[in-house]
Amino acid sequence: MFYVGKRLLALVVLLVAISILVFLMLQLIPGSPVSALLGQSATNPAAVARLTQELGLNRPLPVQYWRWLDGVLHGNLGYSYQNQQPVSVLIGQNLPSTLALAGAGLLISLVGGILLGAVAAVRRDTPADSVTMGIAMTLVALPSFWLGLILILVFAVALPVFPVFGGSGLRGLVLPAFTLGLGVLGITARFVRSSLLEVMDSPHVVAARAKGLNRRTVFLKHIARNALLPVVTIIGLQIGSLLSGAVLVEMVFSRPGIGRLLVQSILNKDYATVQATVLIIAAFYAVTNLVVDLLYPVLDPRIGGA
Amino acid sequence: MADRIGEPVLADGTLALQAAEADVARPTASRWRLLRQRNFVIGVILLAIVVIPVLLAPVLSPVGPDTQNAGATFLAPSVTHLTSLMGTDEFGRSVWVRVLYGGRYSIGASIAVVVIGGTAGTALGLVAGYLGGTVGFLIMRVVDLLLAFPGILLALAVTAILGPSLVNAVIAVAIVAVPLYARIVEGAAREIRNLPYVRASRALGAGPRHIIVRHVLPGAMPAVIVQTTVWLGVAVLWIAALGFLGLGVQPPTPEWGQMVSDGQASLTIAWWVAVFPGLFLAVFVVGISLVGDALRDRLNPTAVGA
Repeated sequence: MFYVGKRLLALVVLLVAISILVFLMLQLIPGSPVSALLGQSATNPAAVARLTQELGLNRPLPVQYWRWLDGVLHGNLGYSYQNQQPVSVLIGQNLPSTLALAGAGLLISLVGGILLGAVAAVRRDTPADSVTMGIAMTLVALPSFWLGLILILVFAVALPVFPVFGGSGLRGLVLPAFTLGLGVLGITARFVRSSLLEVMDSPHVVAARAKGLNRRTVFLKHIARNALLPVVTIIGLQIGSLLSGAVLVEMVFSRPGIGRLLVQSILNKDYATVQATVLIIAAFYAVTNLVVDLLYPVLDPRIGGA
Repeated sequence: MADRIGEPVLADGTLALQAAEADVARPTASRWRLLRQRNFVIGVILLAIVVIPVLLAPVLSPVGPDTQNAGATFLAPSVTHLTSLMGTDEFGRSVWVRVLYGGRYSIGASIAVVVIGGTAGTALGLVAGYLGGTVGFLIMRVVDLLLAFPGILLALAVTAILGPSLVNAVIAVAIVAVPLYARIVEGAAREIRNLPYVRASRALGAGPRHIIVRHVLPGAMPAVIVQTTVWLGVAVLWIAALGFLGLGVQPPTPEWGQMVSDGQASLTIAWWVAVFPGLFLAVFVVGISLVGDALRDRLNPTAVGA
């Protein structure tokens, strides 16, 4: 319990630090925060005066931060003057689509990565090992935005199976999810391989073989069970890659989502939305990482208590 | 032996154990080295395929990268003319020539990233690791905070503040690299600071600057070199990603990521405009990864190959 409390406290500290950094972002933009937030509307003196008052920009910086944070904690993420909508509404509209994409990508990377890694480990030092690890490395190195276009060319243009851009529902999700998942799959595969190899050389596996158990049983019951547990730890790492990847994949496929919202806000200089999206993604990343870390001792009792 | 297979042999357990062990143990160390050597050679060849033409761009280009030809738009790739080796784009510009010149921007920018980010990160890591104390603590907490953002999010936030341009994209990606360098170098510096020869040097009256430059930095160098190889690949991908998103190089300057984005609009009628710049990018990154992996094994034999 002490461990959980300590980690939760660290998360709170981290979230506060992230919020300060995101708050200061607006101060770093050339020009006043008011004109940055208002964009085109900054020429209207009444709007400028109102927002200055609202943000308390005539007060000291810590007071401004406190007011902003108070708003954020109450669900007020600011107002997007470009979109004429509260930012929280924009994020609410875009978040589900990104979560679906990231979730599907994670699933593809785990299933594919475990299969590829297992083949490589079982056939260690054979051509099959070299080939699968070569594929894994290439997938990591491929630019996801380019891979997306190649998938579009093959599966939407040459063989019209899936929609070229956009497309709703599950059919529209397939190509983006594969683009995202394949990039992360390589990392999973390499991790699974080394994790499996480590367990394969451990004494209990040697003993299981010595008992005369067949290879299948040894692999499933004695190796895979132990080796796949650490894979949970890299899910945390992958969430970062998936979120980063989602930004590009959503742009390639013109798919609504939080990443596309962020990029378009940057291009439109819609700083209220930029600030809120950066905050949401960073906070989401921090929280999911903690959840994965806390989940691990639950799955593997040997780690607990530490 | 044959009758023993498949049944648990307790009486002759040692023999079975030995047999099982012989089955598991393989001469991995030397084979691994050979494999790595082969990967290194493949990596160097891939890099040469990309880098040599890019370096020779002026020699290999019959026309300039911005030379338009209204009568030759969207020509399909053909080997009859060097200009249309990779086809032409919507303005009749040679994709081949633009890929070569684009490589100069992509690779040049990523070299700038590792020089700027690597120097700053190494300096911070040296100071934090050698001096320790409050300064070291503060530096490392800022490093932790920056690492809490999924990489591309930090780069996007920085470009949001600075505005889209190649120079700003380089700064943004360099800022992402700083904490990664700092953390690695800090660990190395902290170890080296207490080694006998460093303590001897201190006892002889050497100041911190002398010790850092003459003793700590050379000790941390292998880690820095490995990190730099890895980051050359990462940086070129991210510079291209920012270019693809419209947040890096601005048209008409050719850069691989920006060219892929250019070609996306005409993907269904002229695949070559988007495919070739991405292909060069992919080959370059795969080559760098192979070389980087081999270097890591060579310079840092204790590291666990993931």
